[in-house]
Amino acid sequence: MLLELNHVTKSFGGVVATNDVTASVKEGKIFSIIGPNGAGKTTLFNLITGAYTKTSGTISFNGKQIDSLKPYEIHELGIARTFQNIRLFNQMTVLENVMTGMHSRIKANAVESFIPFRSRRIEAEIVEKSMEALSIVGLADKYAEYGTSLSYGQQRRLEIARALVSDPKLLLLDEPAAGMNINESAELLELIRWINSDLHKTIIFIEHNMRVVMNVSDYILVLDHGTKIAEGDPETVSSDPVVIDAYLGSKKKGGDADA
Amino acid sequence: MKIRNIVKDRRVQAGVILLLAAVAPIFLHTASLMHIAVLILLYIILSLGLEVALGITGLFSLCHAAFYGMGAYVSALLSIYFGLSFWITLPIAAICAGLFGVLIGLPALRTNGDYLAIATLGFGEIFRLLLINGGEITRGPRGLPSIPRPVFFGLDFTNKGTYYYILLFVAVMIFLVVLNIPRTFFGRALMAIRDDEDAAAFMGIRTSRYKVCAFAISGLIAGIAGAFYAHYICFISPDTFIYNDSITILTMVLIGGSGTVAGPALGAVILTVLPELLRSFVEYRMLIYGLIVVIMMQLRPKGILGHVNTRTSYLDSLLGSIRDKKIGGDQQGGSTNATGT
Repeated sequence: MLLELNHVTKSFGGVVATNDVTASVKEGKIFSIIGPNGAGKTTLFNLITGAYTKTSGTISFNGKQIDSLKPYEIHELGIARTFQNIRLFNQMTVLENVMTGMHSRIKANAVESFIPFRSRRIEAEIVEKSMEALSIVGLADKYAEYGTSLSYGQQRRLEIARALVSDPKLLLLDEPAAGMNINESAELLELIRWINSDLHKTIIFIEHNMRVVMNVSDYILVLDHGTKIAEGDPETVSSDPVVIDAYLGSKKKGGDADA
Repeated sequence: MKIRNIVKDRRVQAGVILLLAAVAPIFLHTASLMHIAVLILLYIILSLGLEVALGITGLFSLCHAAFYGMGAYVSALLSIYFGLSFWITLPIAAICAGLFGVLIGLPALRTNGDYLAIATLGFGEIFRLLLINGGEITRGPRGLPSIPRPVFFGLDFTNKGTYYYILLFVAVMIFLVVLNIPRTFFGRALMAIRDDEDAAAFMGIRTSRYKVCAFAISGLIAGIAGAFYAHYICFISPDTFIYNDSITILTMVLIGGSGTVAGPALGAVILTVLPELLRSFVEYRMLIYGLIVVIMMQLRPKGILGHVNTRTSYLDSLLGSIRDKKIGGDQQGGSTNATGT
């Protein structure tokens, strides 16, 4: 198991955002997390990447317990992520954004960046790797533009490149297809599949679009109100009455659930 | 077209500016004009220091004058009480100001934006009060008189021109260092903190460590300016290093264009010359000064050079050298570079 969540709970005051979630992610698989709005999907990402500290439970990655590490330490171990609401570095160019993602892979000391020729060699290496990541997501020709001048879909791809460049073992994608049109999201799915099969990255992603999820996932975890309500392969999950209930609302309750 | 390209070449621009700066003393006949020229250079160094904290890292620091004062006082005290040469006190003063930056940087980790501005404002005030209440060591508000001038291979340090050329050299060196920062992974980490601190942490950047580093470098550079100032004016007192000065330096950075390195240097030139030009309108001076600043911010909200980006040309040159290397490698029947789509 690459990533294991063991009875993870996170509460903010009285609100339990993640309630006793246990799950494990196999290496090399595409694992998706679905659930209605406010189900605690992003909270789970924030727990894995160290933005939040859990209230109880354990999270381990590659056999190492990571639930009390800082975000930068977790990134160094090989977990990279993208964000639900795009968070690019606005005053940097596309290439610089990706180069920043390499940070924890640079072995050089910060002092070396003040030595002219040494620094140039280090930077050349970073540029080379970053351009490779950019061409993977198809943005190599936009390298000199500012991230903010890209289209929404391209910004999402840029975030993926920025996460990929650090060569992570596990890639966390938070609603990567949100706001994309049908063509864009189909292309993105291709990309995600390719990253999984050819770059051998394990991927966890959050997605609302059921068709996308059913198409691409090896394994699905369904959350509702912070609690795991179902898990399994796409067929099992899509026919599970509890899942249908959470998404569409049961007839008895009279449709008070989220759409 | 060709002439236009030459004029647009940044190296040509830099060369022309440097040449003008080198011959400027010939045209500055009077001592007071030379004094302004020296002040311009000091403020260029100061604004470059603040550029590291504010422009590159986005740390709103309002205690830059305290770093400046730290450098000045450390250097002055060491040379007065221990008779040390300026060339020894200068690095010590710079390091002390840098350490002071670390000291301020530590609480800065807990605050952000406006709160950091208030906190640093407080630190600046504490520094001033320490100087005033420093007893016989700092001589309080009476200040430190008769600070010895530097000695260097028979150079005449009673002549302002000597200071001018030494400071010009120092300012150019610091400019090159600061200009290089955003081109390195170190500087990119600082810029990432400026743009989105949380996202930066998710990219593996130790944000707290880098913020302290930025404050330290900022302080170090201001300390250098402070040491030169002390041994140039030969008299320093606490009211030279008050928050007013911090605000002036801040304005220089913002007017010039924070985050561009060249901008703050230009801002320092403009905001040092402007008050002098307006000296004849005594009572309206600050009014006109304020008006000009407001108009500039209206026309160029990002600063005069706010649109300048000197990083991409550097990255282009790196890309060029990588391509050359690859072509060379392929001709030797070497590597294939697989890039997916």
